[in-house]
Amino acid sequence: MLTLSYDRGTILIEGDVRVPGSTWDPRVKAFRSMAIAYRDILDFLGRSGLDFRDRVMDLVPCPRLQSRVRLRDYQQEALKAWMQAGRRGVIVLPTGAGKTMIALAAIAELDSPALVIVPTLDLVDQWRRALNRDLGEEIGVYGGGESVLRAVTVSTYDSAYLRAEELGNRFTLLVFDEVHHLPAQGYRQIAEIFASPYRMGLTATYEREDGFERELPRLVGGKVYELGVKALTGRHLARHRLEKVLVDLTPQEQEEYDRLYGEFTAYLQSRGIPMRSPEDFRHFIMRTGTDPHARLALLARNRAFQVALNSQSKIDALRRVLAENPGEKILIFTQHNQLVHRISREFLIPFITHRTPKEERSQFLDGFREGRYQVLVTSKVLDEGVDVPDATMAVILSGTGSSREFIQRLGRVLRKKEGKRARLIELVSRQTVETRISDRRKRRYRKAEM
Amino acid sequence: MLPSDLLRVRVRGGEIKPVYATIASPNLQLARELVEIFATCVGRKKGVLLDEVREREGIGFDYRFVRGLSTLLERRSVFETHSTLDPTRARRLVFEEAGRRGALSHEARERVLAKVAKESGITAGELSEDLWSDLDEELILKEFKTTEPDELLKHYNLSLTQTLLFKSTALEFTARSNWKRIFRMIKYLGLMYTAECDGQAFRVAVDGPLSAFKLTERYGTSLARLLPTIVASDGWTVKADIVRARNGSKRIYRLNLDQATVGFLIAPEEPIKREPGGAFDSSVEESFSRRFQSLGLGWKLTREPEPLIAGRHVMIPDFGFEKNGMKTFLEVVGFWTPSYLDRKLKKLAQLEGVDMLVAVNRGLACSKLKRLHIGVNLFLYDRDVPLQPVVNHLRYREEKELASQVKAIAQKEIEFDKPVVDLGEESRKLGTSEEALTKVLQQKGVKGYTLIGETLVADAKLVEIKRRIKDLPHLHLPTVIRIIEAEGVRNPYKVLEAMGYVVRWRGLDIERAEIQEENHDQSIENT
Repeated sequence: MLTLSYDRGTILIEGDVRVPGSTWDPRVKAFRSMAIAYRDILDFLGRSGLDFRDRVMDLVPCPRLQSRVRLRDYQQEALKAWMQAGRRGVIVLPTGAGKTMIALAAIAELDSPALVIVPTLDLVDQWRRALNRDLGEEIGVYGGGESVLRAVTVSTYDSAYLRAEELGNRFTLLVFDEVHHLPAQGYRQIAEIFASPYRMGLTATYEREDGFERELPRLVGGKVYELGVKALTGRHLARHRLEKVLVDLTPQEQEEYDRLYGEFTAYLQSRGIPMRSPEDFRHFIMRTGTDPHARLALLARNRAFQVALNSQSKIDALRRVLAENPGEKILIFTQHNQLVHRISREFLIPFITHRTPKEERSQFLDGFREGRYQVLVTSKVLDEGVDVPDATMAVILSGTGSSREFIQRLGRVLRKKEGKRARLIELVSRQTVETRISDRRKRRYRKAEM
Repeated sequence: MLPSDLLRVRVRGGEIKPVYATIASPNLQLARELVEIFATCVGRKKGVLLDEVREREGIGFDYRFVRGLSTLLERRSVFETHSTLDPTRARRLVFEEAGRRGALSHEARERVLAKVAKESGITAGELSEDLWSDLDEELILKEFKTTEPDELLKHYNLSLTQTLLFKSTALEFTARSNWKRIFRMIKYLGLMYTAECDGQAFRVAVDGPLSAFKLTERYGTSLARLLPTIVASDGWTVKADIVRARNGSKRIYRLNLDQATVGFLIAPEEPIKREPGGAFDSSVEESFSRRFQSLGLGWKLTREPEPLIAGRHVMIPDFGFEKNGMKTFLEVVGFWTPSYLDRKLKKLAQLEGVDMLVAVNRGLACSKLKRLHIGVNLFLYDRDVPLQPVVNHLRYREEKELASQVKAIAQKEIEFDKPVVDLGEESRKLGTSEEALTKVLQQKGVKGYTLIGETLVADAKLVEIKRRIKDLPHLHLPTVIRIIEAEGVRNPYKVLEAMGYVVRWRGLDIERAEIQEENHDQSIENT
């Protein structure tokens, strides 16, 4: 009889039937297809009325899963849209709109094993706590040195990628938090290697700069529900204001900046290299591997950026912002860890980088929530998804031109609280490329506003 | 393995090759300097160490090469935190104090540090050191396991190759030893293989389940991890397909490596330990190997010889015996789980045209063994694998082979045109064994020739030699031997004897030996 089984990320189809999308594998003398096709294979065999044995899924034993969450109206709509789309698809909601709640409701609705995949260890912790609180069950974890399998398990994208073959037939439902990560070359294999028929993607920013969001319909199902920041502001999200503070470099810094940046542009001009797009920059970087002059130019450019990003004037401006806003709960964002450490040293405030151990991280975050610390400085790690609900103000000292990063940082201070009016302050060095970077990152935000 | 941004490759046509470091100056000089930097920085901060390493990047070396070497050296290092107060605790105390009182001005900052330091019983200076002592660049190099400059370069070259393999979709290799280890590793890494033997070389293609329908780099890391085991074998060759982005689209490049051309450039960090003749799975096998070799039967014994193809799988027998193109294999089955035995027996049943002996421990359930019948010779053992069944089988093979050769030759008309014929040479010409030819000639005889040992000498030639000896002024042994050897005879003493002479030795000196006609005095003096 035709038999389906799971083999390290693939479905083996033994028997004399050719299922669409499968390939003959001479190594094992059987048809084989990617595990993502499992649902389609079942569909095909069901419609064909063929008799077959299905040994694909080997589900984690599952207790009865019940949720006590009460969904807001738009959350209910989103869940309904997802169910109607065949329990597949992506839900797009701004940060702070309660995407976790929707996932909880979906897990309880399906009442079978689910794997939640998240980008950072902070989010692993956060999801574990939320799931445990609501479902009252012990939650499994993969990532950060842990590997515990339970009916409901949270994993980082990295761990899910590494262990996809072994976990791929253990869950009915996959929830991808911050699903815009999934289309990356490596991560998309998670979706392909898991046989799980039901999939949910969650994000505040569906689009990617590289356009690979076009893979999402195949990997999780397309966009099934979307709501913008504007629609929720005031009712569910805090009102907010954007400010930009221009800072002059000190004369020595300006001189050094001009000299270093000049070296970079002089090199570009001498070789006639254009520098208008990320693609141009990538070409230039490739060149630095073989051309020592290109490498020197790159080093000069990086040092110029360091001067602008780490300017003493900025530290002084930050000092003023902090002094003028006592009582505010402030998150400071920078691009590089070096500056994180410098600010922490200067003002004796807690810092969180990707190297900060888990216990210390939660100690700092708890302390911030409970008011033992008013200020927290961090690099990229807090950009995504970690709840810092009480922050009333964000200060950006440096960052890339990425709109996503900007929207996410904004999201950190936008969680609704009674009477809260959030502020986001950018400190930008005048007369450097930073002004352009600052403009670039707000483009899409403005578009979304309109 | 190195971070991908430190990879250095050269692309020519459709081929890709790592940029290997030659084991010569100035590379050796750089390697030596870096090793020294690490050795002298023990007890100092990582930041200081890395600054010193960075200085070497600007002086005529590719920075990726310098960083590659230092990455490997970092892995030989142990870093640790030095502090009076646990840094996590120091931070909590200081940040909370600053949270209560603020530390925006220099003075306020100093006050916070002073207060916490006092409460903890340390100085403010110590406290501010402790606060950051667990940051990467503040870590102290505690231990460094040194290495030789040439070893470092060879390890670098292997790591570079592994880094290139991260982007590989499939790998194909050949080897002449180390098979069990390689296949064990393939299985451990969750890879799949297809084995193929074209009569000469045994070729293995390795990839993974998903490779059936798409080119994927998913198994690249696993293939990279397999590489050290392959290059630890003899006569290895490796071919791999490497994916690289070029002008925005992906291209496949071919990597070709073999021991003959790059083997001397490549070595794992810790050489994979191998005793001469290969490591043994068990003392039973080791004991068998030792006892068999002491017999000196003329059969060449190999541990883990080339794999045999058994259906969809390969099987590597424990021993191979080889003589004159005859091959026999021995598999020792000790105490194992029933499912292991099942798989093994299934594999054995699928072997075709292979002469296989199987030694099975008597303690195993024999009912399973009854299922096994075809082409396999089974015998049981208790503690040691006995030699007798093996030796008997090999003798039987030899006799059977001899008999069939004798039968084939006996039917042939063989003519000789030379007065002196070496049977070794002649048998090679006839494509048979010397033993078979000798046996046939002994039985049939050759008209006009006498068979002396392994040489056939024309009777006329014997008469001629005898006359020349008689013509000598006196019977000087070295001169006589030279005369006989000049005719192309391998063993001149046998010819001398056949002509009726006896050599009487006086001590070991050939000059003093005497030659006598046999019918005179046959006694040999002992000296």
